[in-house]
Amino acid sequence: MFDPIKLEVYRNIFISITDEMGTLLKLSSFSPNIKERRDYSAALFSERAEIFALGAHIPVHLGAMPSSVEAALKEVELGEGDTALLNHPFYGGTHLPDITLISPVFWEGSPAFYVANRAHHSDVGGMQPGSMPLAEEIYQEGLIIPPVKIEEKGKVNRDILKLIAANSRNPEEREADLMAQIAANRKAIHRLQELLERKGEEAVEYAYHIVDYSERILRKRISELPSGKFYFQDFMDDDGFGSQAIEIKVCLWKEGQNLVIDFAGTSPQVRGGINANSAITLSAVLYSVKLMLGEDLPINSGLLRPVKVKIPPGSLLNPYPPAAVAGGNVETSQRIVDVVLGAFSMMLPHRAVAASQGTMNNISFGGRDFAYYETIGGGAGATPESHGASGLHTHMTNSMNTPVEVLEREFLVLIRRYELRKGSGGRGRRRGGDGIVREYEFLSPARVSILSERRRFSPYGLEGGQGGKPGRNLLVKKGKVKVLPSKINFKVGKGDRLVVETPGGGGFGKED
Amino acid sequence: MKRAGVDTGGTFTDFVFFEEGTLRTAKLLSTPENPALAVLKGLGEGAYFLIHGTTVATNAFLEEKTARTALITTEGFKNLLQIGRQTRVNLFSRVPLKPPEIIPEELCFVLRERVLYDGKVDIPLSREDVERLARTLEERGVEAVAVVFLHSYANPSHERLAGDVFSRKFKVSLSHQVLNEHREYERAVATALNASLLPVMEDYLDLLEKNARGEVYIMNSSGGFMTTEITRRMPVLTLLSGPAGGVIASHAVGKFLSLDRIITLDMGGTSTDVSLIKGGISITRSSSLFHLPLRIPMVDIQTVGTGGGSIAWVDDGGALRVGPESAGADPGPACYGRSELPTLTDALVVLGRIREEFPLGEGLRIKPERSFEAVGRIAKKISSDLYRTAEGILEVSLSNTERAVKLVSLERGEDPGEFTLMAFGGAGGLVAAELAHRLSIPRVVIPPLQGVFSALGMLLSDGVREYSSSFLRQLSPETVEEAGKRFGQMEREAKKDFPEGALIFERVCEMRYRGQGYEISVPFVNSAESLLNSFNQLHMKLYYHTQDRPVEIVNLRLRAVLPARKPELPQIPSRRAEPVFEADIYHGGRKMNCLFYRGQDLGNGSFLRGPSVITSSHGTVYIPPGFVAKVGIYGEIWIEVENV
Repeated sequence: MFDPIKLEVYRNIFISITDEMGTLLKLSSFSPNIKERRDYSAALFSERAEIFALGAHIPVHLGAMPSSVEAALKEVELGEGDTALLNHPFYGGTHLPDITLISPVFWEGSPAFYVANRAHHSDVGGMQPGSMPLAEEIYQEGLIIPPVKIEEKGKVNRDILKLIAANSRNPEEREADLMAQIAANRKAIHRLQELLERKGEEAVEYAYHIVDYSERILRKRISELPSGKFYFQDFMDDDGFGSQAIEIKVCLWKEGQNLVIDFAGTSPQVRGGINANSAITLSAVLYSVKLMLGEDLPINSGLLRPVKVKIPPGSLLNPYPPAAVAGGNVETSQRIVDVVLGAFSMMLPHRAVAASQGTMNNISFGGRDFAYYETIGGGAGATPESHGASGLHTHMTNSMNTPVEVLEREFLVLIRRYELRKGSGGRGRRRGGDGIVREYEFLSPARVSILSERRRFSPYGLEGGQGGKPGRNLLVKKGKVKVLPSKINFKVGKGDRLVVETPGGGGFGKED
Repeated sequence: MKRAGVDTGGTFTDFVFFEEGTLRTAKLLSTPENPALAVLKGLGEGAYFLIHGTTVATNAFLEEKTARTALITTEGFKNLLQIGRQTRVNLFSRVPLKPPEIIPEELCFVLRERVLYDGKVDIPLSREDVERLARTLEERGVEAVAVVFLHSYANPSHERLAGDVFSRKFKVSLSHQVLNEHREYERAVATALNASLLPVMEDYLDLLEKNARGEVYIMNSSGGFMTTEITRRMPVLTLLSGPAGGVIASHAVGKFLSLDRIITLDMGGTSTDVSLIKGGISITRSSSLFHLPLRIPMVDIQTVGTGGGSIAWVDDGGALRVGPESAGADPGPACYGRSELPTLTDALVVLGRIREEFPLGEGLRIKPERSFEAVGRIAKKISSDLYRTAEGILEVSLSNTERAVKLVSLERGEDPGEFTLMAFGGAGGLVAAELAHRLSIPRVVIPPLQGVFSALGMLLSDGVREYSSSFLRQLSPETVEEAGKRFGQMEREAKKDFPEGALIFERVCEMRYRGQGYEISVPFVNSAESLLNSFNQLHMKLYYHTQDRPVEIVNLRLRAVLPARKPELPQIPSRRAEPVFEADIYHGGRKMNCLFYRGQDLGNGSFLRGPSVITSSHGTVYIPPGFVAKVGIYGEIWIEVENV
């Protein structure tokens, strides 16, 4: 049994360590993506590779980080002062730009904990600047790194660092960002070793207690859920290679104190890069479960223990290599949340929530020696008690925008418009939030990739509320306007403009 | 001429006077409808030099009584304040929320104009457009205007033109004057807040200055006072000056006690403020207010929602939690007799540190039996005994507070073991020794004159203003020389903002590796090599690594200080400590005998061994077993672990 007082004390200590890792990444890193947009996460793991503390950063990293630690432990032997690095989507990664570093925390000769941090790098090579292309197989998407040792006995392996850097369009930035990531783990190791010095075995025990604690409350809440099977389905627009709508289907029910989430009936894997590996699906499920049943609970692997997730192999959500996956993490993850929350809304009507924008609107561009990546917010879905918020990131991401004044200083682009897209939120008794309009003017020729969704199918409304307006991507070339598809790689010339209109959120209830 | 420090609080307005070598204190009931009345009444006759901490701006903001303000920005960016950084403040919630928008969308307007990052004009601003918009604003009943054009820090000419037209009819804030830095949202927040506070600050200062008999200076959030002329232009600089008061006082009192490394702990009813003093007060430019980023210089204070009134509860999973809900002053902890809420204060009553024989604060008698009942209910829920539960509530509270101390020390690369903990506020002295012990802080000091501590800090404070200048050059001997010249210019300009007197300047340059987004502050010296070394050392200390990359100087920061004439603190006679009674307390799971002292019975040199309790109208101090306390010449109480 645990001591309820110590539980709270340890929870405070652990969270302060992940916060400190995040702060270090933000303040000392180099890509706009990390320093301005804060697209990173930090977590502490037990010896069994379960998360027991997680910095409140980016939800899509949550469920996926434990598989990184598992893969690292399986593939490389981690001694004291060693750090593993990986981005391989079929060995513990999600998509290639997300690079994860894992280090053991040694105490009395063996690992007591692991620490990990993940950051989204602006470019890891591949066919398009920003490494978020529309591709057919993973080899086109960038450098694939299985678990390797970036640090050995406290010494950085320069060879690997140089290899990664050489494969990026901005090599100096890669190297510098990886150094910041290594430092973040070092800091956490230092703090945890101090703690173990002072508290000994007790610190390890309480890491487990915290996970058990989340699990116990969640099981209790699951057992109180209504019985029955609840179905929901929704569609991805297309895979960027002319596919038809792609279905994601879910069925949700409780079995005693367990929750079963079954994705049977989901489309097979597709040609374009919106396949999502099972770790991403776990992240999306964990996020949805926390939202519906455990907003107040500490986030850790305990929330996954009572949840049985079934995903058909070879499907969109559990693809075989060499499927392309760049958009799985950012786009498909959003749709998984939409369907899981949809099924929950059937199960718990008083906690229903209409669909939010359901995309991250990934825009990347660059040239021979530069690359930039960003995402754009949209509208949030309405609930029985509230209108949806406008112009913000929803569900699986919460990355910031790059300030226009930073973007224009660092890249050859002007932002001509960045405003709310009035009237795009779904109407209803409660209105969905409005999306955003962002207009780029390119000041030099560049290659651009867009991975976006909800350009065809609206974010759904509930109980008679209307869906949000779908998004639109427009290219303005010499005064001529052309509607672009949801996913595309293309070239722009000097003076061309790209206008991205992001989707609104779904409304709730019939308008009076 | 007498000097006066005056602090307006919610209930009382505190006064500390210094005249002909003696220090005098007074308290008057505040006059919330018009705070200047209590200030003027307390100041009385005769000429004075007044240093005043006012919450006029803070209250106007909190009570949403600011001016009807319009935002004017570049065409295409109407929703600058609504979109913000496009993030939500609550990561896991069905109902995502954004920071407050400050100015509603219907009062946000755009003008056709555009400046580029290098200051070049892409689209010129037409005066006619501005005049047309001014008429619209008039029709809409606007009182104040915030002008925020993109890249105005690089070329302010458009903002100046707009300001020229608008200022004929409205109160105006121009963003390059409020916060001359890039990142448009952060600049817009500061400018919008500033504009919305202009009229209320002007009204307040008009009344105060018309009736005051002497010079008036206003406390700002960065630890010193400034002229009323600056305050009228920049009311946003006072927005967070309230909690700064205790830190300023700690710094000032620290000088008398020869302490230059202090961690301040201000534990009140609902929250605890922690700050670090190393030589000087720590200043930050990245604080926030209700999730709004506030990039103005202010005392670096970390606040946690744990105080004497924080409510203990047991969550669904059986964990004991304390706060962030607070019983506040009304209804207050269970022992006040108006609620059944089990709070940290009640836990301390159960443990015997707070007793009914001694009133808490201003004549408030407590009812211990109510604390026993309230904490007993928690004990039942976690199947523990009463005393263990009370110690648990204390322990959880301490762990919350510990986090704030770590944020201002360890996270800034400072070892708390090299500091003294200065504790004040209603509950500070009750927990300080144990908190210090957990953090390996070797020594605690409870400062004198706690009842008017902020006002004392004001009286002892210096004139302070922070200046900044955007620089952005690669570090080299040539650029360092140029920076030196620029500092010289800034110093000449700064002299205009202060009354007569010899100013002290602190030059700091903010540096980073090229490509980083945030800077490290390095004290400026006239040598590129030393600057580089200091920067690398600090980077290593803070971020655990250095990089082999070019280094840039991004901003030059100047802190101008006008040292005030300092009074001596009153000294107290020496005296042997005599307890007034003894009683049982609980500590570490054991019952033990504890001596109780009255503050007024102690004198210079009084020596106490723990467990003991000192109570006075300023607060209660607990000396745990294994600790000793010694009273100093100013009545300050030093607490340390007893050397055996």
